Amino acid sequence: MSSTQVLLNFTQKIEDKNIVSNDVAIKLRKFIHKLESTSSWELFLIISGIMGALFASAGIFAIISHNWDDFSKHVRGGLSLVPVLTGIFFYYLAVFKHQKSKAWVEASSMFLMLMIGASMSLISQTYQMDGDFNKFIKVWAFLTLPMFYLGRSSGIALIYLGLILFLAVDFSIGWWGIPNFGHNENLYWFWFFLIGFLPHYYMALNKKSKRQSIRVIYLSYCLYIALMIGIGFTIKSNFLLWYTLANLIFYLLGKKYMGNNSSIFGRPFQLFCQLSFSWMLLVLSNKDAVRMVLNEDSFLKHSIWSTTEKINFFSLMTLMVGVYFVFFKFKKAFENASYLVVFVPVLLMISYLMVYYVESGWVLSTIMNLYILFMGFAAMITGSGKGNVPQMAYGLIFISMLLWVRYFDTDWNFIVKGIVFLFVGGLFFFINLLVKGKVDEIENNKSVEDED
Amino acid sequence: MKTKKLIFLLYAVIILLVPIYLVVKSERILTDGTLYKFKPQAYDPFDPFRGKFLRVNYDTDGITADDDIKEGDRVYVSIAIDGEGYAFFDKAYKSPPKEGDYLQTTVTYVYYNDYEYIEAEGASSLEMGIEIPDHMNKYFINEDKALDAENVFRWKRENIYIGVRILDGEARIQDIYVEGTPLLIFMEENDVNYEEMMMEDMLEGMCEGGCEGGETCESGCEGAEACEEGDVCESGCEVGDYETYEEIDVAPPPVEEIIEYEDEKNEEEEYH
Repeated sequence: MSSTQVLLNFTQKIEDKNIVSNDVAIKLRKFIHKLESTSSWELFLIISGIMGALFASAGIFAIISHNWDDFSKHVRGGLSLVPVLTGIFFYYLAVFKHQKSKAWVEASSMFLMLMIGASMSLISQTYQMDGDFNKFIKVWAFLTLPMFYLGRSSGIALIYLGLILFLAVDFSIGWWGIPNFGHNENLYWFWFFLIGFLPHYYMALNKKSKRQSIRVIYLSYCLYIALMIGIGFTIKSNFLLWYTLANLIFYLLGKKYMGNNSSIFGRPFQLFCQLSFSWMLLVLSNKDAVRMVLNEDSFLKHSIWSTTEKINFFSLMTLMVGVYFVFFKFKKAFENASYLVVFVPVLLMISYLMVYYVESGWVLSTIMNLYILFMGFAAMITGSGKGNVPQMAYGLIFISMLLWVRYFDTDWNFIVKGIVFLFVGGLFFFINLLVKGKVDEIENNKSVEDED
Repeated sequence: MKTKKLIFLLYAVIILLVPIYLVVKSERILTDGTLYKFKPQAYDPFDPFRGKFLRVNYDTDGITADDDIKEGDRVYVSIAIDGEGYAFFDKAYKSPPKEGDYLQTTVTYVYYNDYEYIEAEGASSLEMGIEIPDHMNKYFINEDKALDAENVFRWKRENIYIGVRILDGEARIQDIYVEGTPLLIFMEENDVNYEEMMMEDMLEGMCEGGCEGGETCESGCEGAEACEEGDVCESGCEVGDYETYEEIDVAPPPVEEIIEYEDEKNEEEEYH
């Protein structure tokens, strides 16, 4: 239901209950209609425009794939320019004649991007020169990049970022059809094209507000996924620390710019960061897993590092120090940031040291378990204070996941395990009682108002 | 606005220049490049068409190298012509050879044989593989003609070569030639049912049932007796499996012979 309809229903309710008179209700309705925003309708126009461009482009690709050998090579060579000329024409119309229409700009950008690819494909097919796929992507991405700044279109971001990921990832198929996730020399191009995209993201951000538009939310999802996959394929050493630090940077950016977006799905950076950290901490809470994972890629094995690895670690430490410096210097900008989340990279550094210097895995595992418990309870208490039920649910589920994992991987005596988990179950019932009290309070308040 | 229009104009020109450059470059190779005839080594008979192209392979065995070549190195492989006029990949160099055409590519593997007999015969102990550029492995074709082209490839395997134009290390497939004729033209001129043609070829030399009356098979059975599959009669034709005759719509042998044949087959299976 749209916000306009919600307000109209509310007006109807208060009119029915004689809280406001009929005249006041009419004035309210008029005012609500005045405030009605066209943003949802515009969003629909943009999406339908982009879908139309996608399907039209798909149709053109299908026609191209027919392989028109009835025409000579020269004719086909000339015809291969038609898609891109058409795309340029519509793009020109959108950017200079209909620049106020976002749907026009987005759809024409998508169309032009795909027509560039179509033209290159048609030429490859005509001249039997289907060659280096990486080269094809580089040229395509290079020609697409200016569209982010000329027309300020964002719809093409998903395809653009998906394309450049092929440069970071080597998807060659090895023996028996098994993917060969090797190290691609084109990964530097991936970073080049990603950095080329970042100014567009920055320009799209509403820097004066903690509430961002759907466009920024969409770009945030695309950027996070692309960057995280890219890091996975390009970082050779200290991967876990880089991964954690990147998540922290996204978390802080989310707190600064998207803190007031109402839905959790409207805060993608916080959402992904919490999920990533939750998963990572759950894995590291097992005493065997923590030693195995942290021993694999420990920075304390620096004596056998190459120069590249040393530079990698130095960059990591410099960035980490920089992030914490910014966090503490501009704490106000990151209000409501959970310290437990912010200090996960530090916890990880300490874990590496403990794994190296302390024999027993129990100590570190206990610390991890306690950290998770604190995070869970903190989420529940904060959520309860704000009336944020999803946050409370997250805290509860996080603690539950931890307990379930411990139930199955702990070597305790069954009686002891039974008693402990009975106690845990009781604790959950107690939490249930507390929340029930809150619900009853709200119900009571409702019935008191009715009596009045 | 004027600046923006200028930037847009420059952008549009760059976008158009890319496909034009590709066309011009390809035209140059196809016009000025030397035409070489490569024998296709093999093709995938089960899935020769992925999408709308024919996948072809080239023989890359026997490539030699004087320089110290490692896996992953960029090399320039010279093209030579054999006694029958077909091109083959000859020798790999680390820099473009001064004379003759070459293909720019990458080394996929390098292997040194330690077998003494190879060294004794003076042959090179080096075995290496090169990456054939993707555009040399794929021949795009109209999807309506794809199946017939596949059958032509099976039927005329010995009479096919790939015409490749090479210029300054770059290659383009000009066409696939069947008995000297471009593939598509060959298919137009020989508008036949290729499956029937292949079946006729396969049936050529096959006997109906056993050998003719009075003939003896190689195995020794005589006259109307059903000979074993693969046996050769005095007349020279080869005995086929009875089941095959049903498939190819040829008159089956007399029922009594079939029964006798099946009985013998069953006895043999029980024995084993």
